[in-house]
Amino acid sequence: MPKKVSKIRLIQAIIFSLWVTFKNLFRKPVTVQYPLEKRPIPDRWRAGTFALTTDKETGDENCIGCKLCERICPSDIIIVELEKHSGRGWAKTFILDLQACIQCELCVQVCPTDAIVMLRGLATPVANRQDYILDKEKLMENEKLFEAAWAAGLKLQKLHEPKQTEVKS
Amino acid sequence: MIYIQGLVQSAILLGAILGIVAYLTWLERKFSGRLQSRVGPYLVGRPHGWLQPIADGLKLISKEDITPSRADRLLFNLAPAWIVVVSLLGFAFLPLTANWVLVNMDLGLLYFTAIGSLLVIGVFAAGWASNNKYALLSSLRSAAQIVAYEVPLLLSLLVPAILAGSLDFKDIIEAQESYWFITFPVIGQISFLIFLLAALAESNKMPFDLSEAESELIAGFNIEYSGMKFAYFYLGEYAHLMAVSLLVSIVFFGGPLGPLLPGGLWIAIKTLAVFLGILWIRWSFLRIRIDQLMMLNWKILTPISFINLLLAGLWVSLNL
Ligand code: SF4
Ligand code: SF4
Repeated sequence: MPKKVSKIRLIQAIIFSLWVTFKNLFRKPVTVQYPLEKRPIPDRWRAGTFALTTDKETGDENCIGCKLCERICPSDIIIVELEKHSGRGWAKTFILDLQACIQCELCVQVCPTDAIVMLRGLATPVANRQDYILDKEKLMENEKLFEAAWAAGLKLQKLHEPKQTEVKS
Repeated sequence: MIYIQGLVQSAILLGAILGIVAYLTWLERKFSGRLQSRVGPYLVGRPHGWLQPIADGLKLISKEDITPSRADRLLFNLAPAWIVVVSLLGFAFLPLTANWVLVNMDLGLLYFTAIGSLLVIGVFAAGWASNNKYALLSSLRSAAQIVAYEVPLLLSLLVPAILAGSLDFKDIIEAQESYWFITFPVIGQISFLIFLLAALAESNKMPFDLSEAESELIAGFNIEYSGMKFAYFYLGEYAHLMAVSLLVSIVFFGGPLGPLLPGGLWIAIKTLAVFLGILWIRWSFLRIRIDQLMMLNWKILTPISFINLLLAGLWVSLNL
């Protein structure tokens, strides 16, 4: 048996719903006419494509091939191959399949060198599925496409660090 | 001579109605958009989408006209025509000014409701002939609904007829010289509300649009129709809605009566106001269940309209 609702409540609800739509009639519509007017993209934007950054001073790639992003990605779409020379690791290949990305930003959060970032801009639509499989070259080129979003690995990790308690002697 | 005159007049009326109905669909989309804080059509004929009905019409004309192979061809093609003809026929009896009406007859009100209830045949034929389970279910529902709501509809329409002492639209209008029937204490408002609800249910509109329930029945009885035949259903629906608004403005709001402006303008304003009121109700509520629908009809509206009719009859007979 469904719960009985009192008659007065019902009439109140009817009048209230009429009132809500009536108020809307004199309000400006909330619609944003997308292609004609664009909304500003917020700082911490999390829906777009990725880029692999390079060091501003030396011009070297930031990625050290540590495979942390490959491990954490819930959709399992990042594949990194490690290569070691000149004293540090490098990513020999780096493949990110954007088709299955759920934009969870986890890969950005774990990166220890701020190498992978999300971009403040929409992913360009493509006609070919192959074009959404981003390899290392495409990711490096993407860096010039848009500026990076606010969130980057080291910044976020600092936010999560436990507060240092001072040890009194 | 008189035949030619009648022919010309009805042709003009028909053209005017079709044009108005086309723009009523635009009005509905705009108005319902604003009610829900959207903008409605805006691209074709910027900035307000003035050309949208014409674009829609062109699109519907250019669509392929499909008759399903298992359908009953005769009935399938007859049903849309039936709906349009029946819903346009109603206009013939409605006076558009104080003394201009296409067909003048003593029993105008009765005739109008009789023709309105013929719609159910078209709806049922469409659902049956499509040979589709959704269409059949929907037309069964809609038939049950229309037949059931006919009772309070007629009973509430009889109240103004009793107050005016006639079924002739002209007499009903004349009787409202001193006061509109909507302002008649209690009885007038109750019968107006009941009529509005029953008319909404009759034309399968939103709180009662069970026959069109998109979530269960996809599109209802017209699911198999495409192109111009679908447009006929659309046209018939809106023409019926407009006829109902016109009827309400005549029997409850005094029709062409009003100060200053000419009668034709008054009736247009009142019809538009009633139409917008119906849309307002329509876009404010959710769809109710079929058992709630029937309960509302048989347990609430019908008894109330009987009592209302009785009160109106008592008042008139005690006053004479
Ligand atoms: S944002 Fe995309 S690529 Fe990064 S971890 Fe989530 S699913 Fe994987
Ligand atoms: S992008 Fe960052 S997390 Fe991924 S392999 Fe390179 S350095 Fe490691």
